Amino acid sequence: MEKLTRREFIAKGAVGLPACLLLPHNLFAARLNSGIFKNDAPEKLWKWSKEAMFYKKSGQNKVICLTCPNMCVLSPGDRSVCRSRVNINGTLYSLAYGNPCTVHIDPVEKKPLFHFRPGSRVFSIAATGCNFRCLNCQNWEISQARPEDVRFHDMFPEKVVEKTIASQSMAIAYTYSEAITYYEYMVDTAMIAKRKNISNFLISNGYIRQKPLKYLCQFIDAANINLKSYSEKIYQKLNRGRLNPVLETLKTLHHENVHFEITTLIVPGYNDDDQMLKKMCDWILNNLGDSHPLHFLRFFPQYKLNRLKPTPVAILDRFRKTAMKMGINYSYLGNVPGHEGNHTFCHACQKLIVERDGYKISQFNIKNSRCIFCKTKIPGIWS
Amino acid sequence: MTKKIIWLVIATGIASIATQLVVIREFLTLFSGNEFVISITLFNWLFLGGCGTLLSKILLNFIKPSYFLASFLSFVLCIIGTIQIPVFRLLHNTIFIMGSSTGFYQVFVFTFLVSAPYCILLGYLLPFSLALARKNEKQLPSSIIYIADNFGDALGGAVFSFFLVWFFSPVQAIFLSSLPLLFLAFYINKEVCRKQETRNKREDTRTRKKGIELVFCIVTGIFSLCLMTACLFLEPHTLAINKIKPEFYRETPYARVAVYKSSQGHAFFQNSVPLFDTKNLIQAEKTVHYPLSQIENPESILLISAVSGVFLEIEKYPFKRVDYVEIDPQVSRALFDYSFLKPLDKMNVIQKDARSFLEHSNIRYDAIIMNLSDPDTFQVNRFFTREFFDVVSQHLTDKGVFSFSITGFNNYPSTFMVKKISSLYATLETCFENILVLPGSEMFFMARESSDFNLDIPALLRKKDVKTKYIENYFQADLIRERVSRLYDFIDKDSHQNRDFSPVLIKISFNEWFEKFQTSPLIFRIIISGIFLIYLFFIKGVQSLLFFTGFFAMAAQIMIIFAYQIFFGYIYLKIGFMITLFLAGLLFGAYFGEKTDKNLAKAWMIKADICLVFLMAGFILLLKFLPYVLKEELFGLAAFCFGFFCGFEFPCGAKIKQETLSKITGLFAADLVGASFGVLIFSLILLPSLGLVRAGVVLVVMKVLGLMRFLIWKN
Repeated sequence: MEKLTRREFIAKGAVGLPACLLLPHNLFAARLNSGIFKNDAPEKLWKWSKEAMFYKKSGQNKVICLTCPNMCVLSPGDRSVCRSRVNINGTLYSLAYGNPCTVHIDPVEKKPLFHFRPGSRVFSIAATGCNFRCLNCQNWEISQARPEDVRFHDMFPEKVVEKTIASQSMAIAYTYSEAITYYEYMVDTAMIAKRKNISNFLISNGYIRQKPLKYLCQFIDAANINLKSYSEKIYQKLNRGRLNPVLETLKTLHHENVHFEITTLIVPGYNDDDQMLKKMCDWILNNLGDSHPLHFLRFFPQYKLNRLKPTPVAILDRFRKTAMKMGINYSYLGNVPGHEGNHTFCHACQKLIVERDGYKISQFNIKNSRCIFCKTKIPGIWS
Repeated sequence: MTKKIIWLVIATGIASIATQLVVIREFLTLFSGNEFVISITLFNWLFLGGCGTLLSKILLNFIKPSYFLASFLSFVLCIIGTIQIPVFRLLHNTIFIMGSSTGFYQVFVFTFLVSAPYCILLGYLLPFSLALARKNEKQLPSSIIYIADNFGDALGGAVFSFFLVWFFSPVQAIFLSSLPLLFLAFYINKEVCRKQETRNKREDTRTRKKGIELVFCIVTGIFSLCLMTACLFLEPHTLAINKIKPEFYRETPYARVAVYKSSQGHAFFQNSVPLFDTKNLIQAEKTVHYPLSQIENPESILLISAVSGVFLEIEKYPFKRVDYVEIDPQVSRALFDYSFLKPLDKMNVIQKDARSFLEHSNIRYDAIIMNLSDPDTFQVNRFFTREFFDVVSQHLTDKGVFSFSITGFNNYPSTFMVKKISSLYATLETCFENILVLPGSEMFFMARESSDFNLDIPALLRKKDVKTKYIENYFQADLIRERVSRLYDFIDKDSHQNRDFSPVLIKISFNEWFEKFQTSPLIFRIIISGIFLIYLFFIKGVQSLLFFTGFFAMAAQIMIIFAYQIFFGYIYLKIGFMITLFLAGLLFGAYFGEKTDKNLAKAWMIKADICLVFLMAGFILLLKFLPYVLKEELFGLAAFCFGFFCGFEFPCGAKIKQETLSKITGLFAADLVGASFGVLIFSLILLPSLGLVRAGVVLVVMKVLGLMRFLIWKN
């Protein structure tokens, strides 16, 4: 058992006392809401509900969801942590199927995916729900909402693909909220898209179990996994999640040869620690190699974490340099316009090979996936 | 000795009111300037004070009051008062997740628990002092203690508002205001021991006991002083963020302003909220170029507050005049001194309230750019109302643009966000012909009378040869167009307008606060209404009338504070002033109430009650129909008058109740508990749901019902 520090003891005691006084009210949402939602499922199947792909039945009509490591055990009428799965009469359904609440066209750089057809456009969709509770969520309006609570588009997988083609986008990104929570919808859409030569991007926190992930890898062309920190404690404190399953996801994507990039948001006072960064880079180099691009994003006050100042650019700059010095070939900065950390430099000859002015590509010096100066192969999909 | 007890009560009043005002400001800062925090803090203060008073009803039967105990409790009060500010900060940093905002219930429970020791002790001391004074003078009227307490409160309020707030930090202010109490607590015990010694030379045991008490008192006094002094030194350390102390720190009459050094420059904080840092390119570009790109030749620009880097962007235009209005001189000082803003040649810095500045100015501007935080407080909401937009529209040139931003959304607007945008849109529409809303994590509203807006801002900037880093490369007009059209699908153009006295945005923000933390205001409302009704069920007659008077008076006080905020802004400065006037009213009211004939006390109470009802009715009518006659002095007068009639009723009630200690304690408690509910129910239930005027009407109805209940009981 982990020992409590004195500070934690005071904090937990002070939180526990008032919480006991006012329970069962959800006073300390970030701490207590990570559980399932009892009796919150609709009485009848809602709209386009679809049976979940990965779950097992248990006694007394209970089900255990096997999509993500939360492994919610749901009695009939219960709703999962991610809010989009419900147990109706002993069957697990996804409520997020066919009803994305957000549909936009974005530049691929916004995902961010810097090594996948730079300058192209991506049809981006999201349904509600998330298996984390990040205090700094950028999309809390949908990630912390139920499918029934938002305005949605009726858009079955076929229609998503049609719209993608019509908008001249080269890929579909499952993004904004947490794609794993609408897993079935993503898989069905990705399958059809793949047949029509449209790429599929998984933009995710990587909190998924191995079996569904391996199945998904058949259809996914690229991924951006948000490695929120390299600390179990910070994962618990800021995200209500766990680090290890995310690391497992990264390993699996690597072994399955899916192109992926890693994003880490640097939150001042939490993961802006050089030692932590070095450990993280060490792990990446040892387990994934040096070719997967690593993005450091600048934090801006968001959602509930809005009493922190933005990350100083100097720290991001230092992190990028440290990562590259340790051997990660491609490291970028996000949310810092005009910084050289937005461009791609060949890891062999150090020459500028992709110059990005925001979402525009102003120089592109890669031919046949190789640097035009030194002919070194540049990891990624370039054409 | 009675006189000395009265002096002790006055000193307690001085220390307690200064402490209360500092605590309100501290909580306002810790919880980021939300005015609902004022209501919660006042509720805690009054309710817990009432609990302390009720506690004395029981404890005084077991613990006999003595001068030694009075001294000891006063020392404890001084210590808790001074130590609590650093303790609040440390506990806040320990309990809550660093950098995170807090939900309503978290704020409520936290402030309630941490305020409890001081408030309960303070509430206990009032009847305790009365009981102690009556040891010497059995017939001493309770109103003398009540008046002394009010006198101390009023004096403390005045000292704080006119002196301490201007020159001292929170802990220093409490320390200084506690010194008279500390001295008196020591002096009283010393005096008693001296007299006891001369009187009882034969009674050795008692003398020895008194000697021990004196020594104990000296030790406690010195210990208190040392501890309080230590707090003064500890205070700056409690302001550190991530172990970094602020380079610039001012407790201004408007807010707490702090600048922290970071590895790339500085970060600017106001009331614990990080507003920006020195590398603020994206916000600066959006703020300046979105509106100025739309104007052919922007020559005169008005900035209502500023964000880091805006002057560098404005410099890219051939402007002739820039007026920068900032009410707080310390804010503009910090912004210029720490390079958040680079001074311009043709720039006027105007240290005034922007609304008042515009109301009294006849200059017309090509662009009015407002950089304020979100309209989720009354302080800021007054810049997002139809009344203010009207003023702005009169100060724009024909093709002039008015622009402002609020926190937006990245990809999908929440229900409350949609309501906010819709209300702002509907409000703007009443004053401007053309409106453009640009979605994003920061959402920009632009409005003008003539000419449409052009969404291709990068193209407009290229035409003007204005170079930008963010807009040129990240603003993709075609994609933004698609997002704008999706946003417009959400907007309900028939939504309620945001008005000065019907602040729709405040109501939305209040509910959004709960929504963000997955809680509901309903439970709180049910609990509070339940306790209110239960308490009401158990009190009768004079107690019930005083309960309603306390309720009404504090609700009226809150109403004045918020109305004042709407008219003149910046409650942080004037809250002490308004509370002081109210307390002065209480003092004079109590003085005149004490002069009434015992047999006519009931009749006087009823008359005072009727006066309160008419006073409120008159105030509402003025707010509704003749707001322009409400000058600053009139608000002060109203605060004083409400306090006067409220204070007047207590001695009358005490006379009816025959002056027994137990009954008087019940009256003190009814008054305090009524006042606490007045604050809470008015500001957190009535005001957000009904707006200022209608909430005032409900108050009148409640007061009339309370009076009727009293009259029925009487018969």
